[in-house]
Amino acid sequence: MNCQDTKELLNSYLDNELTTNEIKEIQEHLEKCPACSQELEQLSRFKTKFRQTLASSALTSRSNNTSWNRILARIQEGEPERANLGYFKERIFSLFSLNIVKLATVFAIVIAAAVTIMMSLPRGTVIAIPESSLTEPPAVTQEAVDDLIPTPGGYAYRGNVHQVGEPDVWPGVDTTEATIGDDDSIDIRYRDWITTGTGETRNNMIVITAPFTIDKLKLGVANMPGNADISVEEICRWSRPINVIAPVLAFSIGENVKPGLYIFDIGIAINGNDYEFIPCAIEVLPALLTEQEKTKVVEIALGDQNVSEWLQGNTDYIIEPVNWYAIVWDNEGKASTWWYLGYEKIENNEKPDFIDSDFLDSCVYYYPGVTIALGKEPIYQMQTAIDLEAGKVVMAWGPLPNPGQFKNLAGHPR
Amino acid sequence: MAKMEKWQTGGKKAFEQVYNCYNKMVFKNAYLITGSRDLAEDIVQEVFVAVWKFRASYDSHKGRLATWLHRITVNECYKKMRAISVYGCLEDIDFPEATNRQPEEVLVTKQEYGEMLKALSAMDEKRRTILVLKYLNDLSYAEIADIMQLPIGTVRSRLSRATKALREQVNHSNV
Repeated sequence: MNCQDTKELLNSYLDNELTTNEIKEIQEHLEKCPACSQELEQLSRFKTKFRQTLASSALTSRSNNTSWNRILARIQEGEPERANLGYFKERIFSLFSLNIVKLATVFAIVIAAAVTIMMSLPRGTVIAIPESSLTEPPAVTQEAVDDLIPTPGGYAYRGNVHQVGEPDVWPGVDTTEATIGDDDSIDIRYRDWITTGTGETRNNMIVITAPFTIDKLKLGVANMPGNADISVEEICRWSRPINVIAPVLAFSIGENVKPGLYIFDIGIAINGNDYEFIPCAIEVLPALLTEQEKTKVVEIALGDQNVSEWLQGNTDYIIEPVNWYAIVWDNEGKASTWWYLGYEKIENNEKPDFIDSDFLDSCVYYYPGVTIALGKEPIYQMQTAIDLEAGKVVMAWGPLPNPGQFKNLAGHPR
Repeated sequence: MAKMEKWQTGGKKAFEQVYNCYNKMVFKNAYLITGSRDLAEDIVQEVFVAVWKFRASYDSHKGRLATWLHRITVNECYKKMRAISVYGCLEDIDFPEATNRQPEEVLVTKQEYGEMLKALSAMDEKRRTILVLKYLNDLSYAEIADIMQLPIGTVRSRLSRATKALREQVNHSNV
């Protein structure tokens, strides 16, 4: 281990967060390197001082009983809304901030739906979803997008579980929390926003936790827009322990469904009580890219081109959608992490919020496989490499010096 | 799910004990992450109301209550900061000056204390969060990963870089 490697690990060494081998290697280096030993001592001293700074009593609360009394009052009053819609609403409004010009249609749908939700009127005909005939979760297949895998605590989305010894190449699945029931007693974790394309099927695992035994569970869908060719079926459910039940709904988006935002309610009826509702949105994009399109590379420019500047400098383009995938590669060229950074739409001259700088800092090699459609055609692939050793961020359109490293790109999950 | 604890099954008296035990911790974390005493007072309320609301979902077998509280606190901090658009408005940070009376075993001088807090307030919110979680609460990387929903490797590298940046900031202010 050389000085640079050692210095990078000294912080974790002092935090006692290294493997036995790493500790051994560092100690061997420290024994023969006075400079690194001095750095260790200085870092240790700095960390101690910083800890003592944060421990200062000057930074403590001046609060008294007033704070508790306010909390108590809010608990006793209960929350005005039956379901926790905060996250959902935030997502809706963040959509507005992304695109001002081209979302008129979506805007109308969202306003109508948001008003409906905020007024807590998720009514109309509730279409019951047929209960699953399966008692066990479906088998895991490589093709399934929202794949489920068994974990010690029940089933989970593959993208949310890192399996030891396997490359972590599945995009995370965002879930949110809501409550229903008297006094908001029933906790629900589910996906309130699913972005997908026409002809795709997505899973929505609804984990329901109640402070009592759940004997019966019925699910339904309400307020599904009439023009939405979106079918819903329950593909499995399991219960473990008796107060937790987790049905999985599969939403199938028809080939001809019009791209847009579809907001509806999922009804949940427990132990024979009436339905209570949680909101859900499906954002349908135009058909996702074909395998051929995904791997298509068009050489526009190579070298130290800053992509975000390039985009801002080219006002002729309206770019949508932009699908971000990033893979962190280790030194041997193996994928260690695969990130899904979400969809964005970029209008002329808008500054694209491309890259999480902290994320970049942590990469040895960085490759966001970005597919950009100008309208619908053509579709370009952006390739980006970061050479941290040279202290240089290299962004380029077109093939990298060693494109063989990225041969798995074509099979990336969406 | 593990057997629920007394405070989870409805007793407000028992919940008050949880509040008494943890409210100072929540406040201090929120204060150091947001840099605002007023905001931190609000966040304490939001955190404990949320804890009450989602009490049934806490499982002591999956992690310590403190870790769960940290996760809620961090989420509330980000939510509040977004809501009032103070993201990155570091000049608003109002950390207090050091008190004169300090125990003898404390290494940090009053000047260093000021420099450390000034350097912390110059960090972006993600770096402040990870620094606070580590150095105030002495959490393991695994716990920080759980709270910030990051891979452990990312916690390791971010923490290393954040510490380095903090140190450089402190050294810079000494020049």
